[in-house]
Amino acid sequence: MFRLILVLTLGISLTACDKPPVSDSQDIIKVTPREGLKFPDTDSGRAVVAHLDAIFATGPDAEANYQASLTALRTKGVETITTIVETYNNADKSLYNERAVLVETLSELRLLEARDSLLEIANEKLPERVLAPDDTFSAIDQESIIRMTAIRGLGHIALKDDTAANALGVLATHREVSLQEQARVSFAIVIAQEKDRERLVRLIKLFPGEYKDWLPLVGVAPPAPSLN
Amino acid sequence: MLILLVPLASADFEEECIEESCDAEESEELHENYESECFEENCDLEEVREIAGRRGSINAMLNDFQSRGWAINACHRVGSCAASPGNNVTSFDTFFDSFCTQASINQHWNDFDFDEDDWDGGFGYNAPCNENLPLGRTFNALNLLDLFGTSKPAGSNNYLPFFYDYSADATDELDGRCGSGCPGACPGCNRMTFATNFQGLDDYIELYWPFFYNQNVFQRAATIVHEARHEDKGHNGGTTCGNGGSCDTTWTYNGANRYEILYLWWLSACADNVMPITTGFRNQIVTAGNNMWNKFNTRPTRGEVLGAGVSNPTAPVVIPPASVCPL
Repeated sequence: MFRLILVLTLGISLTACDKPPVSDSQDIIKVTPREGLKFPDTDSGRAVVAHLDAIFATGPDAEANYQASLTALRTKGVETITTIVETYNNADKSLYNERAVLVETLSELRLLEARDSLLEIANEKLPERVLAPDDTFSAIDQESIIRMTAIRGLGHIALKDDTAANALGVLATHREVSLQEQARVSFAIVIAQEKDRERLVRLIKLFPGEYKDWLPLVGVAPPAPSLN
Repeated sequence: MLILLVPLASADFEEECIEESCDAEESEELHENYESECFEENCDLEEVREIAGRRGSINAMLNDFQSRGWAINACHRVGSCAASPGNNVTSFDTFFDSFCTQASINQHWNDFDFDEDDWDGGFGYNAPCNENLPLGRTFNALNLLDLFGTSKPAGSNNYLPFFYDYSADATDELDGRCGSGCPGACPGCNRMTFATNFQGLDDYIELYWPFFYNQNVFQRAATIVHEARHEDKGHNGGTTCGNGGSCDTTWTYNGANRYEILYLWWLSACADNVMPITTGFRNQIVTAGNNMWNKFNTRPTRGEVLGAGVSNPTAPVVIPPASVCPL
């Protein structure tokens, strides 16, 4: 009897605990939004804001709208770059996602005028890597994504620009593995596309190791997960 | 002659601006000190406290700096775990708002064994579709995970739907907690824990403040996959990988790092089937995945990851900008 009461009590309390919340309930809870990116109140500022929305749009037209938005930003090249870089420099460091998306935009502009800013971002001092217990991350994990994005942008520019290519050669020996590897991948893509024999030889000499090892595979599907 | 020797200690915000009232010049000096300690280098909470004078003055000092238009790091604020979303568009939370329905809540609540007392008290139990609150942001990650299906259909070679099923099966309980990264325990934001898997008599996964507010939706989904994998395997590589922690020895170990990479890889390859995404979005998914190869003690190769038949099998593997999504 005692066991039956215990089981029933436990059952009732567990059921009560497990009740899913109601979708349209709206308790008022104080929210303190972090101050976001501050864009200049200019045409260029508004265009960059619209582009950030375009990046995260989905649907059949999303890519076409995203490319159209990039093209529009490119037509105001230097103005767009200045807006992005000033917004990035003034941003709170803890806005990792927002900063990454700004640099994504700067990189995908693929404009020579963005080179020096991308170089600065790629070479910004990283937070120290701290030894931490498992599943504890340091800010360097999030910052690395921003730097890798800038390095990818340098790769686009390095297709035609030696300064960017030389910078990739240096970044390809970066002490941080993620940055080093992104630089190798981007640099390898540049080398693989080079048609000028003289430049090709020079770039291959700059590459630390065998560039073909770092060319991303084309036409492969991701590997299947295994439960073992 | 009497000479008084006064120790030269720099004044702090408490002395300068709370006990007395400070002018712009005095405040600027304090900000310069803050900037050199915390922006040029990485500071911890103790260093911020020294500049503020005492812990209770940290927020007042940062408010003062901010009101004068000077840069601060919001992570240096102390206090309770106030919900602190950033831009919900770039975190992808706004997009998933419309996916929060009673049916999806019921499904996730049961599949991941949520309990009310782990998600009330400001975590969003009473406002589960609020994208600003921890529970709503967790549901957004689960809605992304199940957007492609809740299990892999037989005969399909597209494994993206596998990850929801796997994570739900492996997760005994999903709990929201303040923990690391909450402004009250965020030493300069230089260390943060997104989530931890606890195993014992009662297995459960705790999700912490940086999971809700420092990760975007796809990173949160990847973290859930990672933690779910810990149900079977912990990290076995100590601290000797490039990451300095959370290391798995090899790809073959088949641990949480491999699962997280695989989820991001499949998402980059197959998201378009259900949710066509932009190149910019895909780039960020691929970059997040490629930022994880430093979490193996031995760098995974193409041969290990894609099979011996792949070209150049001893070369390091990377997630390509565009992968094929098999049928």
